[in-house]
Amino acid sequence: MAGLLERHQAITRGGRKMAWLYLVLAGITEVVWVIGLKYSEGFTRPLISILTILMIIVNFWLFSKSLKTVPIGTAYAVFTGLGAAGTAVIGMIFMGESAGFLKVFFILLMIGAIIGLKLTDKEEEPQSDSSR
Amino acid sequence: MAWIVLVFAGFAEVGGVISLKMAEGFKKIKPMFSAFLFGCASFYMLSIAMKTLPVGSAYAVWTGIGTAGSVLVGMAFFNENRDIKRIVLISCIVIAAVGLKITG
Repeated sequence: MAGLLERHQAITRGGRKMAWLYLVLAGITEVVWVIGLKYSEGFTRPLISILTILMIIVNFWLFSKSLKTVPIGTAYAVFTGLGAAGTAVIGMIFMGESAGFLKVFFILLMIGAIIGLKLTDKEEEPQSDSSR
Repeated sequence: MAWIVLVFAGFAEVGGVISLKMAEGFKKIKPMFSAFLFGCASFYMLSIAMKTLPVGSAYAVWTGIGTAGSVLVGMAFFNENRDIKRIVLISCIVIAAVGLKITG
Protein backbone atom coordinates (compact mmCIF):
# COMPACT_ATOMS: atom_id res chain seq x y z
CA MET A 1 0.00 0.00 0.00
CA ALA A 2 2.76 2.40 1.00
CA GLY A 3 4.53 1.71 -2.28
CA LEU A 4 1.38 2.48 -4.20
CA LEU A 5 0.92 5.74 -2.33
CA GLU A 6 4.50 6.80 -3.01
CA ARG A 7 4.04 5.95 -6.63
CA HIS A 8 0.90 8.06 -6.77
CA GLN A 9 2.68 10.98 -5.10
CA ALA A 10 5.58 10.70 -7.52
CA ILE A 11 3.17 10.86 -10.45
CA THR A 12 1.41 13.90 -8.95
CA ARG A 13 4.75 15.60 -8.44
CA GLY A 14 5.76 14.83 -12.03
CA GLY A 15 2.41 16.18 -13.22
CA ARG A 16 2.99 19.37 -11.30
CA LYS A 17 6.40 19.87 -12.88
CA MET A 18 4.84 19.34 -16.31
CA ALA A 19 2.06 21.76 -15.42
CA TRP A 20 4.63 24.48 -14.66
CA LEU A 21 6.36 23.73 -17.95
CA TYR A 22 3.01 24.12 -19.73
CA LEU A 23 2.46 27.39 -17.88
CA VAL A 24 5.82 28.85 -18.91
CA LEU A 25 5.29 27.71 -22.51
CA ALA A 26 1.85 29.38 -22.39
CA GLY A 27 3.53 32.64 -21.32
CA ILE A 28 6.03 32.36 -24.19
CA THR A 29 3.40 31.56 -26.85
CA GLU A 30 1.40 34.52 -25.58
CA VAL A 31 4.28 36.85 -26.42
CA VAL A 32 4.62 35.18 -29.83
CA TRP A 33 0.98 35.73 -30.76
CA VAL A 34 0.91 39.31 -29.50
CA ILE A 35 3.82 40.04 -31.85
CA GLY A 36 2.11 38.04 -34.60
CA LEU A 37 -1.04 40.10 -34.12
CA LYS A 38 0.97 43.27 -34.59
CA TYR A 39 2.58 42.01 -37.81
CA SER A 40 -0.67 40.57 -39.23
CA GLU A 41 -1.71 44.21 -39.77
CA GLY A 42 -5.34 43.71 -38.82
CA PHE A 43 -5.43 40.16 -40.26
CA THR A 44 -4.68 41.43 -43.78
CA ARG A 45 -1.59 39.23 -44.16
CA PRO A 46 -2.89 35.64 -44.52
CA LEU A 47 0.15 33.55 -43.50
CA ILE A 48 0.98 35.58 -40.40
CA SER A 49 -2.73 35.71 -39.49
CA ILE A 50 -3.09 31.91 -39.66
CA LEU A 51 0.08 31.37 -37.61
CA THR A 52 -1.13 33.93 -35.07
CA ILE A 53 -4.51 32.23 -34.66
CA LEU A 54 -2.82 28.82 -34.35
CA MET A 55 -0.55 30.26 -31.69
CA ILE A 56 -3.54 31.66 -29.78
CA ILE A 57 -5.15 28.19 -29.76
CA VAL A 58 -1.91 26.51 -28.63
CA ASN A 59 -1.52 29.23 -26.01
CA PHE A 60 -4.91 28.60 -24.43
CA TRP A 61 -4.51 24.84 -24.68
CA LEU A 62 -1.23 25.02 -22.73
CA PHE A 63 -2.80 27.34 -20.16
CA SER A 64 -5.78 25.03 -19.74
CA LYS A 65 -3.43 22.03 -19.28
CA SER A 66 -1.48 23.85 -16.59
CA LEU A 67 -4.68 24.79 -14.74
CA LYS A 68 -5.34 21.12 -14.01
CA THR A 69 -2.68 21.18 -11.29
CA VAL A 70 -1.41 24.72 -10.74
CA PRO A 71 -3.82 26.77 -8.56
CA ILE A 72 -5.85 29.15 -10.78
CA GLY A 73 -4.82 32.33 -8.94
CA THR A 74 -1.14 31.45 -9.30
CA ALA A 75 -1.50 30.27 -12.89
CA TYR A 76 -3.38 33.37 -14.03
CA ALA A 77 -0.86 35.73 -12.42
CA VAL A 78 2.14 33.88 -13.88
CA PHE A 79 0.49 33.65 -17.30
CA THR A 80 -0.29 37.38 -17.59
CA GLY A 81 2.98 38.28 -15.87
CA LEU A 82 5.11 36.29 -18.31
CA GLY A 83 3.17 37.85 -21.17
CA ALA A 84 3.84 41.39 -19.91
CA ALA A 85 7.49 40.75 -19.07
CA GLY A 86 8.14 38.89 -22.32
CA THR A 87 6.58 41.65 -24.40
CA ALA A 88 8.70 44.26 -22.57
CA VAL A 89 11.90 42.24 -23.08
CA ILE A 90 11.20 41.73 -26.80
CA GLY A 91 10.43 45.43 -27.11
CA MET A 92 13.74 46.37 -25.52
CA ILE A 93 15.85 43.89 -27.48
CA PHE A 94 14.28 43.99 -30.94
CA MET A 95 12.18 47.13 -31.18
CA GLY A 96 14.57 49.62 -29.71
CA GLU A 97 12.42 50.52 -26.72
CA SER A 98 14.30 52.09 -23.84
CA ALA A 99 15.58 49.84 -21.05
CA GLY A 100 14.99 52.24 -18.17
CA PHE A 101 15.84 51.41 -14.59
CA LEU A 102 12.18 50.97 -13.60
CA LYS A 103 11.45 48.64 -16.49
CA VAL A 104 14.38 46.37 -15.65
CA PHE A 105 13.38 46.51 -11.98
CA PHE A 106 9.81 45.41 -12.76
CA ILE A 107 11.05 42.56 -14.97
CA LEU A 108 13.37 41.33 -12.22
CA LEU A 109 10.57 41.66 -9.63
CA MET A 110 8.34 39.61 -11.94
CA ILE A 111 10.90 36.85 -12.45
CA GLY A 112 11.64 36.73 -8.72
CA ALA A 113 7.95 36.50 -7.83
CA ILE A 114 7.32 33.74 -10.40
CA ILE A 115 10.26 31.68 -9.14
CA GLY A 116 9.05 32.24 -5.58
CA LEU A 117 5.59 31.00 -6.50
CA LYS A 118 7.04 27.93 -8.17
CA LEU A 119 9.10 27.14 -5.07
CA THR A 120 6.18 27.61 -2.65
CA ASP A 121 3.74 25.71 -4.85
CA LYS A 122 3.53 22.45 -2.91
CA GLU A 123 0.90 19.83 -3.50
CA GLU A 124 -1.98 19.96 -1.04
CA GLU A 125 -1.88 16.91 1.19
CA PRO A 126 -5.14 15.05 0.61
CA GLN A 127 -7.12 14.28 3.78
CA SER A 128 -6.66 10.52 3.45
CA ASP A 129 -2.89 10.80 3.42
CA SER A 130 -2.62 12.38 6.86
CA SER A 131 -4.57 9.53 8.50
CA ARG A 132 -2.10 6.96 7.21
CA MET B 1 -19.63 54.06 -17.91
CA ALA B 2 -16.22 53.00 -19.21
CA TRP B 3 -15.23 52.00 -15.68
CA ILE B 4 -18.28 49.75 -15.32
CA VAL B 5 -17.50 48.08 -18.65
CA LEU B 6 -13.92 47.64 -17.45
CA VAL B 7 -15.00 45.95 -14.21
CA PHE B 8 -17.17 43.55 -16.18
CA ALA B 9 -14.21 42.87 -18.49
CA GLY B 10 -12.28 41.84 -15.37
CA PHE B 11 -15.11 39.55 -14.25
CA ALA B 12 -15.26 37.98 -17.71
CA GLU B 13 -11.55 37.27 -17.36
CA VAL B 14 -12.20 35.32 -14.15
CA GLY B 15 -15.03 33.45 -15.90
CA GLY B 16 -12.63 32.57 -18.68
CA VAL B 17 -10.01 31.23 -16.28
CA ILE B 18 -12.57 29.07 -14.44
CA SER B 19 -13.84 27.75 -17.78
CA LEU B 20 -10.33 26.92 -18.93
CA LYS B 21 -9.69 25.02 -15.71
CA MET B 22 -12.87 23.04 -16.18
CA ALA B 23 -12.01 22.37 -19.84
CA GLU B 24 -9.13 20.18 -18.58
CA GLY B 25 -6.82 20.88 -21.49
CA PHE B 26 -9.56 21.09 -24.15
CA LYS B 27 -11.11 17.73 -23.23
CA LYS B 28 -14.54 19.14 -22.34
CA ILE B 29 -16.48 20.95 -25.02
CA LYS B 30 -18.90 23.08 -22.98
CA PRO B 31 -16.28 24.79 -20.78
CA MET B 32 -14.17 25.37 -23.90
CA PHE B 33 -17.09 27.11 -25.52
CA SER B 34 -17.74 29.29 -22.48
CA ALA B 35 -14.01 30.07 -22.20
CA PHE B 36 -14.11 31.30 -25.77
CA LEU B 37 -17.18 33.47 -25.09
CA PHE B 38 -15.73 34.89 -21.86
CA GLY B 39 -12.41 35.57 -23.60
CA CYS B 40 -14.05 37.44 -26.47
CA ALA B 41 -16.33 39.37 -24.10
CA SER B 42 -13.40 40.31 -21.90
CA PHE B 43 -11.21 41.60 -24.74
CA TYR B 44 -14.12 43.39 -26.39
CA MET B 45 -15.09 45.19 -23.18
CA LEU B 46 -11.44 46.00 -22.42
CA SER B 47 -11.04 47.56 -25.86
CA ILE B 48 -14.19 49.66 -25.33
CA ALA B 49 -12.97 50.82 -21.93
CA MET B 50 -9.53 51.68 -23.32
CA LYS B 51 -11.08 54.04 -25.85
CA THR B 52 -11.83 56.54 -23.11
CA LEU B 53 -9.68 55.48 -20.13
CA PRO B 54 -5.87 55.77 -19.93
CA VAL B 55 -4.37 52.47 -21.14
CA GLY B 56 -2.21 52.00 -18.03
CA SER B 57 -5.10 52.39 -15.57
CA ALA B 58 -7.43 50.26 -17.67
CA TYR B 59 -4.86 47.47 -17.84
CA ALA B 60 -4.17 47.73 -14.10
CA VAL B 61 -7.83 47.38 -13.13
CA TRP B 62 -8.43 44.63 -15.68
CA THR B 63 -5.50 42.38 -14.62
CA GLY B 64 -6.04 43.32 -10.99
CA ILE B 65 -9.63 42.07 -11.02
CA GLY B 66 -8.64 39.04 -13.10
CA THR B 67 -5.90 38.04 -10.68
CA ALA B 68 -7.66 38.85 -7.40
CA GLY B 69 -10.84 37.18 -8.70
CA SER B 70 -8.96 34.03 -9.72
CA VAL B 71 -7.21 33.84 -6.35
CA LEU B 72 -10.47 34.27 -4.41
CA VAL B 73 -12.42 31.81 -6.57
CA GLY B 74 -9.54 29.34 -6.26
CA MET B 75 -9.64 29.58 -2.48
CA ALA B 76 -13.43 29.49 -2.21
CA PHE B 77 -14.23 26.73 -4.71
CA PHE B 78 -11.07 24.79 -5.54
CA ASN B 79 -9.61 24.58 -2.04
CA GLU B 80 -6.42 26.38 -2.99
CA ASN B 81 -3.57 27.42 -0.71
CA ARG B 82 -4.27 30.46 1.54
CA ASP B 83 -0.62 30.97 2.44
CA ILE B 84 0.27 34.66 2.90
CA LYS B 85 3.54 34.16 0.97
CA ARG B 86 1.53 33.16 -2.07
CA ILE B 87 -0.67 36.27 -1.86
CA VAL B 88 2.37 38.55 -1.49
CA LEU B 89 4.15 36.96 -4.47
CA ILE B 90 1.04 37.18 -6.65
CA SER B 91 0.67 40.85 -5.65
CA CYS B 92 4.29 41.41 -6.72
CA ILE B 93 3.48 39.98 -10.14
CA VAL B 94 0.49 42.30 -10.53
CA ILE B 95 2.59 45.32 -9.44
CA ALA B 96 5.34 44.36 -11.90
CA ALA B 97 2.90 43.76 -14.79
CA VAL B 98 1.15 47.09 -14.21
CA GLY B 99 4.48 48.85 -13.73
CA LEU B 100 5.67 47.52 -17.09
CA LYS B 101 2.51 48.75 -18.81
CA ILE B 102 2.83 52.21 -17.29
CA THR B 103 6.55 52.61 -18.05
CA GLY B 104 6.22 50.93 -21.48
